[in-house]
Amino acid sequence: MPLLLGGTRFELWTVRSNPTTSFLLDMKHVDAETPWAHLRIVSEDPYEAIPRTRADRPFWVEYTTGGLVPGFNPLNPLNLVIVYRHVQAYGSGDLILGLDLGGLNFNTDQAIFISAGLVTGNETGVLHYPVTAIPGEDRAKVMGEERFSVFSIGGPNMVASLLDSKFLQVWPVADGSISGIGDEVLIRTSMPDVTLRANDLYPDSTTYAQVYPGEVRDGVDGTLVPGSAVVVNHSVPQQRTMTLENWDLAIPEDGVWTLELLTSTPFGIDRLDYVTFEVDRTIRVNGNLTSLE
Amino acid sequence: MKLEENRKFVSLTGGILGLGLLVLATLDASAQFNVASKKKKVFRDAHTHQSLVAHYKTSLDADPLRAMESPELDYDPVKEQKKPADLVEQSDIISFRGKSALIPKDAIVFVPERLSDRLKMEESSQIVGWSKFYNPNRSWIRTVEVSLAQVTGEEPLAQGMQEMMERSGKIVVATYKGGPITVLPYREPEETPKAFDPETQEELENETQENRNRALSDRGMPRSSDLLAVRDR
Repeated sequence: MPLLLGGTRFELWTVRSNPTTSFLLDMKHVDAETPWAHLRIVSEDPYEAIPRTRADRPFWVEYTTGGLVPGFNPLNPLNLVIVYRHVQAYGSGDLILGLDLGGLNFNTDQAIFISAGLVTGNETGVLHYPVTAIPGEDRAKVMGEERFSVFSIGGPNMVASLLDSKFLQVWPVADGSISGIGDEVLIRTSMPDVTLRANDLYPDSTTYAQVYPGEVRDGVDGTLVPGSAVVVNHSVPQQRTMTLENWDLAIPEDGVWTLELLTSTPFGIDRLDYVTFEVDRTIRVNGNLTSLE
Repeated sequence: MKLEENRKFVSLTGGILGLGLLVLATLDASAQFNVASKKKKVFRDAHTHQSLVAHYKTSLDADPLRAMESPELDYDPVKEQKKPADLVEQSDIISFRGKSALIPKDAIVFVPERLSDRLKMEESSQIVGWSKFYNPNRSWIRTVEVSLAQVTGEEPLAQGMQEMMERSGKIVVATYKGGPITVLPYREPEETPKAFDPETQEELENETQENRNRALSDRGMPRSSDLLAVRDR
């Protein structure tokens, strides 16, 4: 395919039939004389369709540049490219509308510039980010996109052009609560019905309640409470409510027990909430036995 | 230990563990880069705003792009760049028997009246690529291969094309190397500047003659007008 004067832009689209809507997935500018660049964003989530992570997790951006000639003339387009970092928060309305594809389809006017840096040689580098910079009052609940772009600079015979752009979706940290059973209560009869609420469950996660004897502590493989497990395999975070009923069999002995709500994600296991309570179901009969002889 | 103290203790140990992991992560970023392939089994309390806010500020300050040579930014190219027009808006849709195809606008160069109702999106139809749509529908679609000059409107479509299209009774799609392509309307070439203007030409000739005479005189040779005068005598 011939390259047109000034370069050729290739665009990758996907089209939904009903309603007929198109989404831009990626685009590349190719020219005979401009430098080139590739970006790759890696997170701890192996999901392949869209790079994604959580508001408290790190991510890495790998850039590779080529076609640059040695020298550092800030006006020479063949001497340097510029890497830009922007962020963009999702509004809750975006999720309600199901606009979860994000990426290049979002309005770039809403993007917030964070930083930029010059790359002056043909090289591969890795940028490490401990957490996202997406704006939000509650740092655990931010959601949106981190977008990285590489641009060439314009010159006498070439135009400044986007060489590559990649984005990362960032989803909020889940939270949850256990209600129906209080801390430090003493249970003498059957286990009460308990309601588990979990919000912002990560798109690839399994959430469940477990019990184990003793006070709360990390890393315990307890007993899964029947009826508590929920698997989320979605493109956006989910909210779930589970009710525990007739779960006496999970507590075989009297003593101090801990019930905790956990969510397992590609980042590990997070405790969303817990309660510690005491169970004493032994019936003691105080009486005397006498005989008449 | 009271339960409330227990919670604080777990939160504190979780925080210290998190900080330790952060230090480890920053020690060798390249080694961590392939972290996605490693199976992690970390157990902790879920982070909250309080546990993340300091981490966030440190992360902003340590942005590796800021450590690189900074460019002079008088504008933001991400915001300035023109977003590609929507693919659907740039396309005509052609449908038949549950299949539809997107064709670049103005690539359909002829539509007979009897087939005009096929230029729409059929409800619940499946969108397929051009070749998948065209091959089973050759009986009512015809393609004409065009040149890049015709595509850009610099050259008109071949003579007799219109007549051929009307005779065919089929929808005609312009293609370039087999793929449908937009064909811009033919533009008449703009008028070129006049090659010959008698007045301008006379001035130019006079000026040239003057220059020639001056050059001859400088070399001590007779001017052409003098030679003509001698001849006339």
